[in-house]
Amino acid sequence: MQRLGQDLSALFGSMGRPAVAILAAYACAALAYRAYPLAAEDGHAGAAIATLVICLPIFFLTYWLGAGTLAFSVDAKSSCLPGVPRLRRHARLLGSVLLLPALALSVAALFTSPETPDWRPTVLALVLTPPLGLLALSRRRRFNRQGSRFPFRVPQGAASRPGSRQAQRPARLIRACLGGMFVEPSPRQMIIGVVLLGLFLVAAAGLPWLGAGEAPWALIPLTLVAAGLVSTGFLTQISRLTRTQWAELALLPGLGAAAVQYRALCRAVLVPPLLWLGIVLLLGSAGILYTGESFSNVGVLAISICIMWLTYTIFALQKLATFPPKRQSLISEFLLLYIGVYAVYPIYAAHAFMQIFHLFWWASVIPILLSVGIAGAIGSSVLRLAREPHPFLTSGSGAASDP
Amino acid sequence: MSAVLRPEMSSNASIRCERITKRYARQTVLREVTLEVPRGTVLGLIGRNGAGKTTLIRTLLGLEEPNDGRASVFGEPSLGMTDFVKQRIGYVPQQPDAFAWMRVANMFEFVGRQYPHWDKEFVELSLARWQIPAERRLANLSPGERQRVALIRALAVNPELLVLDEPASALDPVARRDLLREIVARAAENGTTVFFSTHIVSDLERVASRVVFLHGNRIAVDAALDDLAETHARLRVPAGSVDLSANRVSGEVSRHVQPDGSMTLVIARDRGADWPEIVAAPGVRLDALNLEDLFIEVAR
Amino acid sequence: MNADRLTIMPGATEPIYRQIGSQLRRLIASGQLPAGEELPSVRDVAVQHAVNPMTVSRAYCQLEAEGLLTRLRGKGMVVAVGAHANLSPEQRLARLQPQLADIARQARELDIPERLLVQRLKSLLEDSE
Repeated sequence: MQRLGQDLSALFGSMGRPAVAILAAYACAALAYRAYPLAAEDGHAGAAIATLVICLPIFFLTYWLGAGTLAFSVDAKSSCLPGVPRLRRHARLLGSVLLLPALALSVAALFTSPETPDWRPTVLALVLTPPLGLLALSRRRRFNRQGSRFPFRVPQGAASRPGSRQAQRPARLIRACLGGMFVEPSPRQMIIGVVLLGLFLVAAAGLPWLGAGEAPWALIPLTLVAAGLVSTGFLTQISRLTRTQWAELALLPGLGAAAVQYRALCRAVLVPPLLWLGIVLLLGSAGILYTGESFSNVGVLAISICIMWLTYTIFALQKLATFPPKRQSLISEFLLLYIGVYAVYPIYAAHAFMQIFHLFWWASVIPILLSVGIAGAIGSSVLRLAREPHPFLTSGSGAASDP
Repeated sequence: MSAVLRPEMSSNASIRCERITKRYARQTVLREVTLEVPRGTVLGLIGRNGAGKTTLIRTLLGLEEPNDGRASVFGEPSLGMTDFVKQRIGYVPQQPDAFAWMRVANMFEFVGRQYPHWDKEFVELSLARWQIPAERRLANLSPGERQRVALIRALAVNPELLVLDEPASALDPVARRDLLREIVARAAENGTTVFFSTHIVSDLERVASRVVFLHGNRIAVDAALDDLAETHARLRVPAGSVDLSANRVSGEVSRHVQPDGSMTLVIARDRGADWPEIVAAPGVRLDALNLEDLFIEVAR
Repeated sequence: MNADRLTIMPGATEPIYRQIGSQLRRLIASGQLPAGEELPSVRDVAVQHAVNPMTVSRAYCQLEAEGLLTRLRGKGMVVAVGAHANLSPEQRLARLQPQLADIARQARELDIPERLLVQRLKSLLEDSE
């Protein structure tokens, strides 16, 4: 019990602010929904109020983003990741910059007709997220080419030394170092994973039916939460990397040049849940379409999964980059993830249960904002991991082949 | 206070750091620490718990970025260490936790593939000598066994630079003596530079050629061990005999006021120089110090 | 000579190289290390006693400078010919100078009468014979 209390306080110490921000964003969304009819009816005054209320969620989202990246850096302070004082500036800047399109979108959406079909915003979100992520990556490459402003540059391009033995693919090395979960998942993990996957599939396929009754209120969050548990299982593994363990790995040669290492690191950590989530998306969408529901449900399902994976990504990257001095228990990890996943639930609830068109653009703008925001957070952490001289990332023998 | 400084950049330095400052939150752990370790030196780092020994070691190896100053290993900046340099370093942290999920034999095989000078026979010999089961997972070993495994891993690299953070904390005296012998043999045969931090002062007195004492976020003492008796001494000044409250004695490292009013100082001088005049004052006593006494006097 | 004829005390105020040096001098002066006797290599002494090889090497070099040891090709350090005979009683006494000076100082501090000290010294010398 005391442990739970400690975990909760540790949890809210780092994630409380973003959680509050999300909830406030939704409170504003609800308020704005009430204000929207005002805009349609009362002309300028209503429009002004509506605009003001629109901006509040964006403000909170920026704050959340900033707090999220702050959580990175607050944790990173106690880690061995260098470059902490600089990353905050750059991450915040990047996050804010990436939110500008979201702002533009929301303002534009204010002036569109509520009669336009549902699916456009959701598809828009799906379409927008990858380019924004790519934008962040391209900025990283540009920074790399421009060189570092820091006291020492990471020496680039040292040739692979003759006599270095059996170089292994960096991704494999990193997966091996990070722990057996990527190389040898335990039977228990496999069983839990399969069960959760099944649950998720049931929920995804049965969602349209669920829209009809009251019972689904319990099932939808349950499945989302359960999927969160899957990710949490991976996360707890990663979070077991204590500082000292990371240090030993950081001094292990053979991980190749910085860019290669970085890619390998991301692949090693981010890819594992994709397979399962991909299957869920595929089968869930098939189920939805087969039962003749509107495409927007698929869109929202895709968004949910996308956001879930992205959220997992943030936390995975955060855990990779930050090494808490003591291990967090499963509960706090779970809560940490759930707060992010929770963001998805009201959207779908709104769509499934409140057949009110006036709500459409709130329900759709928020996922856009969230996706953009999360992409921004990922972009900034990508930027940080790649740009800062990381103990794990060096340049050196670039060529690596699998024996 | 007295620091062995070489103003020019020595190409013989294995580790070097300049004016390293490191802060955690509002606490300054290291303040303007400057150190140069020539190749072949066996350097012992001592200090109280929390004095910053581990932080200094991690900063020197590029595992932490200092708020100010820079560190380099074999001439390359620590923060951007290439594989070439990493292949020549053996590092044992205080609590070796890595690869906990692997079996001992697999871990050695996995790690060994990354190093060009990996000594496989040494691994097998050491595992046999220290009786470590090769098929057990590292997570299931006792802390002493895990530390031994980490030591074997660092030594099997045949490093030019061996960095040990409290290597003997979980070892029994026999294993500790084995470790010291190993260090000494490598220093004698290969000119390996050894940098280790420890509490066990007697170990340090045996094998170290140089001692660095970290206290109050600075280097309090940086001296060659052989010369310690000549360069450092303890001064006992009875109460009322000499007024020291105003100035520092030349070469003073630390001072403490005893309950009876007398004062105990640790003073240092360069080799071949004289003690300050206060030594000749009436009632003042000069004692030689061994390393443990020095530690206790400075760190009180 | 075997390396374990030396005793190293790391905690003493006397530096280790001096301990080795004075022990070797005593062994040579007393004749237990005859001329031509080969000394163990620096590495062997270092590993046996777990002390820094530079420390051992320093002791050896100091004795070589004093003429007590010579370096032979292929053999390492050997006791110099005539090392023992070279030392007059006065020179051998000079080896004990640091210890004697220390005893004298401490006796002064403890305010021990000179007569008493000399008496004790004499009885100790007789005992060890």
